[in-house]
Amino acid sequence: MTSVTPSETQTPDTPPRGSLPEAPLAMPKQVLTRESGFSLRKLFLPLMSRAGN
Amino acid sequence: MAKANGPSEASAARLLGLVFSLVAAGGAFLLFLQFGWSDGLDAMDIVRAAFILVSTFWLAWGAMQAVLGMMSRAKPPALPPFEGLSTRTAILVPVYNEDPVTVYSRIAAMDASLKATGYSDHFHFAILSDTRKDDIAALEMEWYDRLLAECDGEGRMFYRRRESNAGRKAGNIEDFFQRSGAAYDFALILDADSLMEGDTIVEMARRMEADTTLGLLQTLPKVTRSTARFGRAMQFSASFHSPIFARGLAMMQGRTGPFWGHNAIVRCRAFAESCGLPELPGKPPFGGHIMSHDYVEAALLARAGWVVRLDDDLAGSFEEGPENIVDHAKRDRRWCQGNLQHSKIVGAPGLRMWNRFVFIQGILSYISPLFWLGFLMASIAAPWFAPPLNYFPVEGWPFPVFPSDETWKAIGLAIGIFGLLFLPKLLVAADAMTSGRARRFGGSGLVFGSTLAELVLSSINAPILMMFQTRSVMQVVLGADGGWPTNNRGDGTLALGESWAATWWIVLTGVCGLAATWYLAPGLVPWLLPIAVPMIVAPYVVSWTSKASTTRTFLTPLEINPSPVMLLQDRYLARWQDNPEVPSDPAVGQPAHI
Repeated sequence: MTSVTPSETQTPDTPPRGSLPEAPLAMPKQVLTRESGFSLRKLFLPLMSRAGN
Repeated sequence: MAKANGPSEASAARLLGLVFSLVAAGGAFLLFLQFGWSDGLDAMDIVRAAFILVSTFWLAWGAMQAVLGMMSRAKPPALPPFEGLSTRTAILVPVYNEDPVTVYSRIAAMDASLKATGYSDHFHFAILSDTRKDDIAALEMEWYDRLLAECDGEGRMFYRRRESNAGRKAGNIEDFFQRSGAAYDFALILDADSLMEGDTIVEMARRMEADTTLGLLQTLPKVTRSTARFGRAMQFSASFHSPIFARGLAMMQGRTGPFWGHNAIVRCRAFAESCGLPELPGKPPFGGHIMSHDYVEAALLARAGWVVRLDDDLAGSFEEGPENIVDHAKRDRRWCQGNLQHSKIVGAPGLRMWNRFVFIQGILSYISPLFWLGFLMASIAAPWFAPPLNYFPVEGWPFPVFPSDETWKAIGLAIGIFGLLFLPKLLVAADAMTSGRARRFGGSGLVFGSTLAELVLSSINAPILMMFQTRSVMQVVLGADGGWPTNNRGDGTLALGESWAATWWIVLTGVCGLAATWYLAPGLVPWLLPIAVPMIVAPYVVSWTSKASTTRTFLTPLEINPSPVMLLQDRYLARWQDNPEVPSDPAVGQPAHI
């Protein structure tokens, strides 16, 4: 974990009226799924299709 | 930096909750099996006992939160003496087809409240519009000019509208971070109906500065502005019961606390590094954008090692709630889809075990009505599966053996379940009366009356909400995407015809269920009436509870003494609605005049 101190933050000049300051921060996409993740849909759909048959 | 709940306190609270819930669930399971055994155990008895096991566990878990909450009091973390702020915070106000006059009146009020603290220079407001309707977007721009003029907001108040609303609210927030996140140390994430006192906002920034491991700090928003019977009952419950339940929750969650998506402050770099949400594989409702992003973001922050904390001692945090059952059910449909979608994330690599449990808890909260419904249906069908009575089970024994009467066990089980449902709220009332907290709610007599009225009303509403939840779960499981409907705000009065249109299928289900019980298991009819009758009269219940409440019942402290920022908002809103023209003189309406 990295600790952030206030001095690390960029403070831009007063931006033009109404526009948000241009100071991008990257948001890398996180890994959330596994190949064999548990799934309610996987659990229920076979049961329901069996019930339908 | 000391914080409210350390890991050992959280572990102890979790263990206590788990043990109590397992004992209660196991006891209910065994009691029901013994009851079923009395006339010969069959498959349907085991199915019903299993439904009882899961449902009781869930009820006991909720009850335990209240008990834990009553065992301690909200307390602030230990902080060094306040010597002013050295950071800058963006206050994010995402909007989606909202009335800009009302939303901006909240911003103007919060700005005035911040100015009164002397620290307003440390805060900027960013209105993040995802509005799709061009006429509302035009109003947003028009009223933004007025907001700037009245609040002297040049360089402090920003407005932007996204061309595409990809990712919905989470995408809207993410867009802010990708565009402007590095300009700020912290971001206070609000909803369009959020309102916060200036000194609360300053205190949140102070706590974030003081603890550099803190990634997210959540407040407990109080529901305000409700006027309808349903809305005021919810508002009373949120004001009277929720702080106790939230205290218990905070004890259990410890450093891996909750994020409810608004009225919370995040550390920008921590949030940006940890919370970039991918699209889930597959189509909605289970794939695509993550709907209930807040729980996921809290889990991702905790996964990255950041502390996520609920500070329930922070007052001055407000939101508004649905005024009627139909609006509540619409919001719940969205939350249902979001929580069930978490079934795809619960196994994500590296998550804290507690966060996985929170996902499962969210899923369980939506599928638990199905367990009760399953129990009811299994009970109605049970007589068809019961083995014929055999009075001579021992071969050669000349005397009949009568089955033992286990009715008291069924009654005991029912009392236990109702106890888990009602006792926590009654204990909260008793605690309030003895601690003096009841005075803020109009006194002990009124608190007792409001508590009883809330219990009666929630008992009548419960079967109706159970049906809405069941429908939501079935829709999601069958692949129906609920989309992103706009929240209804303001007057939510429903005529009987509108209520009928929303609930006719509940009436039909109630009538059919009662008729089937009468035919298949007449002995169960008295047990079913408390569920079937509210279903059959659902249109009347929905319409009646949507109407304005004019009694002192459900009185809350904020109805007696509104918070200063609420009064500020009232004045801005009243003046803007009375005089909708944008003034040419920017000095008009400066906070000093308000």
